[in-house]
Amino acid sequence: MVYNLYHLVFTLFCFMVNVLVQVIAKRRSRSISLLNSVFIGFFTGFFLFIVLEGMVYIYSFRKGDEVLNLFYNLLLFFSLSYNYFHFVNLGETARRARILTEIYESKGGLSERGILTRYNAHKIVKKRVVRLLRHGQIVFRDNAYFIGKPFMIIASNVVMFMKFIILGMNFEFLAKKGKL
Amino acid sequence: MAIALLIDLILFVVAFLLHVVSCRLFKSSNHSKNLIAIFFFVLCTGLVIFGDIGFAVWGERLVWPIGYIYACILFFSLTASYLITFSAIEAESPSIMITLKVAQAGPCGLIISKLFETLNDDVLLKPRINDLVNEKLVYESEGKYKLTKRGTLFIRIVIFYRDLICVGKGG
Repeated sequence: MVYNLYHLVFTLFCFMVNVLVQVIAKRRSRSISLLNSVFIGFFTGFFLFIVLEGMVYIYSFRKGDEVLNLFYNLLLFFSLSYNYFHFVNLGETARRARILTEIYESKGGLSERGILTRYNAHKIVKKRVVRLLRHGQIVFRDNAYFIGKPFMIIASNVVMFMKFIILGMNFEFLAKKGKL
Repeated sequence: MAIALLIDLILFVVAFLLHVVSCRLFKSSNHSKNLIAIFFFVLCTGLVIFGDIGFAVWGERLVWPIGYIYACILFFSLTASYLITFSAIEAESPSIMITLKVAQAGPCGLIISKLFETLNDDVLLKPRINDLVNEKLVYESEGKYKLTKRGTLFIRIVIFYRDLICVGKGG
């Protein structure tokens, strides 16, 4: 088996392009949503990845090895891109990041009451409902909310399933804790 | 690279299963810390074991040091992916809770006041503040929460990135 450092360099380079394009796209155009900028970055990096890996495959003398190398690189590229997507998402939706920001900006620290004055459940729910409505995941009619597109409910069920597998928590457990 | 890929996949599955068992058996408040410890332990022991056994089984050895570097990089990246996913699973996401509540309401629909009744600060905010204290990103002093050095470093990175892409506070 051949170990060539350029495989790793190519993959990391494509990932860097992914990040760079996302940052530039978001900085240059305010109209692009954060999620779309992530997609633009990802597909640019992925396109470059396909081109570079394709060239390596064409000029390689050991094509069987290159197919296996491609699997490794593909997994690494997807994994790094997934991690980056979550880093972007962390600043956008994570409550912990927002709480830390509020404490950081207060300089002298904040009491629990102080944190809840600046950032509270009411604000979170309002913001999330607006986001879900905007993406059509829920719809508002006759003074009530209904499920819209099925994506979010499928994603929610996947998360609940994983919660059950890994943590052993099911709907009943969460309902008892008042979380559902 | 194929051997590095194969070893990584085997080690990842083993580490995942060990982590699931530890989550089920121990009611630890810090599953993420356990996760990092388990994955690191599995990587170290796995590389030692497969470094030699791999040759006997597959007729191929991890080449020192490049093969080990390849194995470690992919494993670290996969571990980070799992850690992130696990954090999302462990914490109750408000969007998911809202969606499930709307789904549970069925054909009658859900009135927003119902959401505010159940999704309050006790459910959405206070557990997150406790998490920050448990993870030593924040400490309590004279009734006020203050950032630790780790917390300051972490949030400076987030703020720097968000300034870079010209967006305001999230949450």
